[in-house]
Amino acid sequence: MSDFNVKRGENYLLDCVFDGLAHSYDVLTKSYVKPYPEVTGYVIKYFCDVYDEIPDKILEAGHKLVKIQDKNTGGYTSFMDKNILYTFDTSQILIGLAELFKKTGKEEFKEAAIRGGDFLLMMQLENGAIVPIYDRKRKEQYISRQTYSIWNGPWSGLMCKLTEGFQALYELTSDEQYIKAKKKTADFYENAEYIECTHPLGYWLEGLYEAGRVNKLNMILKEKVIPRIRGNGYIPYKENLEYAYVSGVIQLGIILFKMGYMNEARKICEYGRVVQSMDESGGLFQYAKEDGSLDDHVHTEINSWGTKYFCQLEAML
Amino acid sequence: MEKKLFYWDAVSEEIGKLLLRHLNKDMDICEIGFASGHFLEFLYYEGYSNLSGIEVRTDIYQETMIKFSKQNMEIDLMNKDVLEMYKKYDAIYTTGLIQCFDEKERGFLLNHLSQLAPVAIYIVPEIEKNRNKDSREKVAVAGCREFSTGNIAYELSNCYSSIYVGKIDKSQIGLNDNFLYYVCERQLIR
Repeated sequence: MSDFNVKRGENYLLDCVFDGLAHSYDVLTKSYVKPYPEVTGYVIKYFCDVYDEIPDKILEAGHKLVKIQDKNTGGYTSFMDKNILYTFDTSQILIGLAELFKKTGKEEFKEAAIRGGDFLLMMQLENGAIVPIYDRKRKEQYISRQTYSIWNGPWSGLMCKLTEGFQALYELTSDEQYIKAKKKTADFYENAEYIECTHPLGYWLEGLYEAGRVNKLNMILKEKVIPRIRGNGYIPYKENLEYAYVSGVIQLGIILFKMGYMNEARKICEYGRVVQSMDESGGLFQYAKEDGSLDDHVHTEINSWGTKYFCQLEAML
Repeated sequence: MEKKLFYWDAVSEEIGKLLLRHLNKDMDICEIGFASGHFLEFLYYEGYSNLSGIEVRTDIYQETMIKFSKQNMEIDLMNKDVLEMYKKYDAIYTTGLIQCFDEKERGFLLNHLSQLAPVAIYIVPEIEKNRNKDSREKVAVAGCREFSTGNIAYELSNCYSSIYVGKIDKSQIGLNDNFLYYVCERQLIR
């Protein structure tokens, strides 16, 4: 573990949280962009996990998330359209809020997490599939082939990660309905195999890990992930692309570590270090080339979720 | 033209509002399983002019046809099974029919219906468990066999590019079941 790298990453995470939300940083325009509720949930969870005393900014972020929650449904918007509530994002946020409750004992965090859980339950179908979007104005669920279209559409395997949200709710309340929902989620999404792009693949595998579906997980790692890792730990975002979605690479590194593939996890962490070294902020580019430098095919941002995952992986090794 | 009153006030009022919200007056519209035809009648008096309906039960088809004739309503009514219908429309809608088919039949029916029009509105009671399994009533008649529906958005997503799902709460309509409605388009709405 490199304390220095973790510290640098954490500094970025703290810097990018202001006005109660985590942001990405555009290195080209030198400005913060995308005030992002979902990733604020990730960042809160990270600091709850590794710090005894929660930084004030992180606590403020928790209050902000309570404040901006949709009061009718318990769902959350993303950084774009304020009319759309996202099930995936809500799950990541409620995990952060549940952790804050454990850390502070403040009921408002627990209540907001449970309201988020009500939203998740409302969006889950009997077969375990989860409707990804709720239209706030129309008060209707929305299923569109456009949603997550590059990641297999509205029933994309990335939603498997909601097993983590249901587990957090169970730990918070001991209410069995969340365990049932978690099982239904895993049963459906274990078969919604998603391999192509590293980032949603990471989410899918994180969900399988949470649900204990280790046979499937192990098979995918051996057959579909490890062969894609280049000598320096780089994994292209998808086959034939010449850049990585860095967070996706690091997510896979964490899963590999948890499943005992230490050499592969170390290689990936090494790639993460190279990416981190490219910018003084301590954050990691969202998209990077094989040599770790910024790739600008999509945008030129450093993001908090990739940086958060990197700090986690560094701390594990 | 004067707006007609409904038969089951609360639920019909909600469904009527829903149809008005999503169907344009210039659309060629067909109701699947129109029964006594009160939604067709409602739309007619709201100024919709290109209306059709299909109903497999001959007795109720005839009753409705006579009722509409007496009012000189120009609505094209057909007495046949929808699976034998291939004419295309701008929009179709159906209320209280889909739950009368088991999962396999339902998949087949929805696939067929999705071919008839690019826009469809399905209004379906949210039924948890199969019921009236020994009933000999005809399809869509009160007390007939009804199958578990829950939320059928996943099934519909096999047939349509986009689906909005809304709920009419049972407390709002004074019935035993919630109703879920599905506003479906074969092409993307956005």
